[in-house]
Amino acid sequence: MRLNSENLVHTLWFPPKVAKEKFWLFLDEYFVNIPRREWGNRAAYELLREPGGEELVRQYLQTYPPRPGKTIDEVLDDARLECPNSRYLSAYQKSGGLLNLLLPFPEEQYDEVWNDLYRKYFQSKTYTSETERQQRLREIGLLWNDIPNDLFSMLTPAQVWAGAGTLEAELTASFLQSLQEKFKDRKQQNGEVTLEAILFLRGWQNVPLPSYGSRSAFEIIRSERTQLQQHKEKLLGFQRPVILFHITEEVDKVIEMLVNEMKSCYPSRQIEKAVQLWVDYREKNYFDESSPELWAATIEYTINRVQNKQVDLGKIAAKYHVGVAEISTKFQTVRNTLKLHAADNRYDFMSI
Amino acid sequence: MLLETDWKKLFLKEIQLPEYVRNYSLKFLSRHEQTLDLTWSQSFIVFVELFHKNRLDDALQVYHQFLKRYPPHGWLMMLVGHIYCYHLADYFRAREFYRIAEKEIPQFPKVQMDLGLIQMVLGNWKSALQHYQNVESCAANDSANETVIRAQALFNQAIIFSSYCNNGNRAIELLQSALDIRPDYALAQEMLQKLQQQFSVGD
Repeated sequence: MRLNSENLVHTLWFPPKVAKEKFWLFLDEYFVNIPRREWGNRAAYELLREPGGEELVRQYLQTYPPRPGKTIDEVLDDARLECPNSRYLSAYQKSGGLLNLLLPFPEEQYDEVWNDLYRKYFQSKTYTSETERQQRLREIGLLWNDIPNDLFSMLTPAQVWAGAGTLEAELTASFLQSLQEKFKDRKQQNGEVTLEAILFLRGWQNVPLPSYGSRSAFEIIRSERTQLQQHKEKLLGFQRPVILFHITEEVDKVIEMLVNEMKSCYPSRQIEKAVQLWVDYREKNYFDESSPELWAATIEYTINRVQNKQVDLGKIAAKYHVGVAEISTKFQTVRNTLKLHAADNRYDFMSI
Repeated sequence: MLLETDWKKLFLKEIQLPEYVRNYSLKFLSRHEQTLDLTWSQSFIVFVELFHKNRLDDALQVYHQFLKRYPPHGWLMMLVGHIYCYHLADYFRAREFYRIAEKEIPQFPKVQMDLGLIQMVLGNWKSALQHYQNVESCAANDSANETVIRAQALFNQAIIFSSYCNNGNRAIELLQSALDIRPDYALAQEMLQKLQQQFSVGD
């Protein structure tokens, strides 16, 4: 089954009516992200940022027109990257891809993640100026972008914003085929059938797929969308700031040092996870306040170990001017205190 | 002829409620004595009748036209949530209604069960598991219906443990607990057998 055929959309059966609308949207979003040989393996969103790129995309769309009801200018607008100054609000209008195909369109009022962040970190605080208020609002928006959200089937809004890639398209074709087979005699559209179809999707998305290295559809989709997100943000020159107020109000010397030393070579989410790890340790165990550099070095080393990253202990020791053996000893203490293990969910920067 | 002041009597006479919800309703009625009236009672009765006749769109219309402007009654919110979830497949709206129901009647197992289901639908296993676990701590009531719900909550937890947490042993324990309280639970028997076979092959 190929996804880019218009006839396909007309012949497929979707349990809720909204799924057909979402499927069209999904195809629009997918079009923007497919690298094409004739464009030097670049996608429309990349081409549109280059001189003359718009003309190439326009020519392509004149040969292969967009779906009925969609103009070339609308396709070009969709393909232009917005600068993520704050929240990726457009996530509410996106299809959310395969994982969200059978769900209704999300709305902010039902967004429990946003409502919690807003209540906890925005409403409860008093502001000395409008600038400070706006700054906090922007920061909680940036946090929201990176939190897995059940309004989007546990993708983050930033992953929804990024759109689907080639692997997700393949998986979608495969899932829709299974859906048609399983429900071939159930052509009615009602709540009961929709519920059954969604639970079928939830089971399917979690099964290890041998042809994809035993990864599940959910893992594949999440990882592909993260890569697209990172690539798009890089093109936009966007670097998310390190945000600490959701972790702790008490910024000590270790945290200051960690942020300063890590910010040039780690993504901000990973730095936040390192700070989280330190705060959790600080709450549980005594630490020697006279050697913040040793603790900062230990935490940087630990977060890399937890996230299964190759790390040169000697380089970290040199960076913080402490000894390798000292870091190893403290690492054991931190590991035992927090009962850390590899790919520990608490400190995996893909989750929150 | 009904008098405007008969609204409370009418409600208590016409609406059949499980004991826990009935006790809650008595408190609800006295808490909102100044706000509730005959229109509320009558609309509530019509809503429940339509709901039981499976005329769910009509029931929802009664809710939006009449009942929405009154303080939210936990059991009513659960029924509205049920319509959004099972009939209209609008899980986000459904969850809003169930959340209100959860605040009002936190010890009512059906609310926790349905919230668990919605969270499963939304792909949030952790939260679903929490709601299914909440069912166990809900106020004990030995009615047949609640035994079914409790067994189902254990069965659903077993599904989460076996399919999403990769913890077959815990799933087996949960299935055994489900069968302890409901020995004729065919789905649980079938799943338990499958898991036990899977584990013995693994050995």
